Amino acid sequence: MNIKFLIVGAALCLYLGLSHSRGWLLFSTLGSRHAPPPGPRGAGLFHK
Amino acid sequence: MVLREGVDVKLIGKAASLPPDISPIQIGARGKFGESGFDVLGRVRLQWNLGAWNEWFIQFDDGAKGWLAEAQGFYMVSREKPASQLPPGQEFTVGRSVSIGGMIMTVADVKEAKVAASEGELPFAAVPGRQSTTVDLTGPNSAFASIEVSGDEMRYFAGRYCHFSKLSLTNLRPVPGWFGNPPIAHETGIQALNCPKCNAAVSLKAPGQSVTVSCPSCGTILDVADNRVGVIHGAVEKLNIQPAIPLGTRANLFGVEYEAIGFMQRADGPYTWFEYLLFNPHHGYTWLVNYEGHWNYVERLLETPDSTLSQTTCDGVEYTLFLRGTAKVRYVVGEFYWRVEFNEKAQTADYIAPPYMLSSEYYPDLHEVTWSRGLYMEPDAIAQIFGVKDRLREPVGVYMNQPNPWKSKGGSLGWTTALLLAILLAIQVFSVVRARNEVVADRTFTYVAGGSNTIPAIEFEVKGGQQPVAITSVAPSLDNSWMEIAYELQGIQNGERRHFVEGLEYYYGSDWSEGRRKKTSVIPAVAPGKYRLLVEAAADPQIPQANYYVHVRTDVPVWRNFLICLALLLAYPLYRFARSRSFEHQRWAQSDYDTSGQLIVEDDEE
Repeated sequence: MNIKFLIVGAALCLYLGLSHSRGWLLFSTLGSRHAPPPGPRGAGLFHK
Repeated sequence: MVLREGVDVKLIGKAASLPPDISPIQIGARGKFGESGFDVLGRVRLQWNLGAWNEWFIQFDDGAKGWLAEAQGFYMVSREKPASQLPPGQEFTVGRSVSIGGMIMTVADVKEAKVAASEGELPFAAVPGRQSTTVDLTGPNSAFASIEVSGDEMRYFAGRYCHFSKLSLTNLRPVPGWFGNPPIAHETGIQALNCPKCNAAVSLKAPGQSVTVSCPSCGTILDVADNRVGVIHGAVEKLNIQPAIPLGTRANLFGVEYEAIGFMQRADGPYTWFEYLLFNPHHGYTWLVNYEGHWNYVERLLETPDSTLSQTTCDGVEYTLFLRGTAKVRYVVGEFYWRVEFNEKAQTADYIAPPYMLSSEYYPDLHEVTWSRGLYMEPDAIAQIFGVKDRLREPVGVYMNQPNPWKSKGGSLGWTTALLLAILLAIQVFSVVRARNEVVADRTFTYVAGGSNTIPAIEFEVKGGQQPVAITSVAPSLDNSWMEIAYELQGIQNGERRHFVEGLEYYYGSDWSEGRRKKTSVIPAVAPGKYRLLVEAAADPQIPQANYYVHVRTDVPVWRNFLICLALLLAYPLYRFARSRSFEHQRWAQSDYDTSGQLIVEDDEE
């Protein structure tokens, strides 16, 4: 059995389980907690 | 010469002197075949136009008589059987299958032989010059049979091939230079001859077994099948070829010490390869074959495999036809146990089951077919075994029985991948089933151009643990225009703030469209608690007024994580699969046959 591959695969399974339990979304930057983006077309919510 | 008739022995004359012979067997040696012990009583040396062999007369412990044939490193123990057991009127031609005593046997070779010399006790008068026709047959489970026809007399012998190690021989003749014996000439030790062309000294490593030797001085190819040295071929054009393994090198291969005693170059059209003949006085001969830097350890088979046109089976392993061709000898140096002819063509067929291969060579003029099995050996292993690291070239391309380095042994990678996929899927299914996917807000708003378009905050609660929250934005009336909805999620208790902008647009023509009127964005890892969602819309100035909808769901099932992990998991197995396919493609690109052994017929282009 390819041990390294098994270890990496097990780590991926663990990470998937963890991401579901923590509500993570892999490779997502949506809903940034940082400063709002520069002004979109016509939006005024962040530029009052 | 002593003739044994029953329990009586009588001296019938003096035999011709036997030529020097490296055979370790001698009169008085004792051995075991199966459960029966035997003693060696006498020897007949038989000769044919391309070589010679020994037939040792043996007596078993139960008094029965038999023969131990010794030829080219092979040993065959047999007992005489009634000739009436042979099928009447049967023609014995090489390759023909014959039923003898209910067993299907294959004729391996037919040759004319004569008695060269004899010694010790024998059951018949082995007068030098006595001529006979011998037919050798092979069968399943190393079965062996020999039929001898001399004048009106026909004799039939049946028995088995066996390896030297299985005979448990004792009281053997010491072989000079081997097994701890000093390398000095014994009465049957290393023989020295003189080249009839240049008179240079020519030493034989395997006297009594070697038939061909090249003069190390002038390169003349000599016939040394008997005591007289003849010329087979004038000096071969000296090719600028240096054996990668120097002749005389000894090395331990699979527990047996061999010495490289012969080297030849063979060719099939433009393709050339090299063969090294290795010798051990007890174990006989084996080969190393080198083609374009690839190596195979080759042993002759004791039995003929079952074969069809495209497949052959040996020891339960199925081999697929890979190549057919015609091989010719181009260059030789050293010693060989058969008479090497430069114009002699062998019809070859190679079958593969990597790392093994089976090869057959049929010599029509000799009425002989031989089978051998090759095992691919890594060049590094050859270099280490023979201590020739700097002399070996790098392998080129993929060889026919080269093991595929991208195929896991026993398919373990496939099983591991399947197991991990199953676990990944189980985790995902569990997560999806558990997700509540609860709608906590479902509102409709109206955008008015020129208005403030700030709506009262949507309040909802996230219950349970940290979870993703999905916000779906819908602007169903977008028509070649756009709308943007800005969101800010504010945690009432924890003070958290999250921002994003959802852009909706829809443009279309008579036969095209782009954009979407509905989008869903997922905010990850939202902590439990109460939240306020601020919403503000902006739109294309052409839109005076438009409705839009906002749906908020908590604890939504997420597939993105699973798909990313799946892609990462499969990356390595898919990479190996692609490399493995590429390797096999390279292998079979060199064959005229497909992977099932069928000849590939190319369509003619008109």
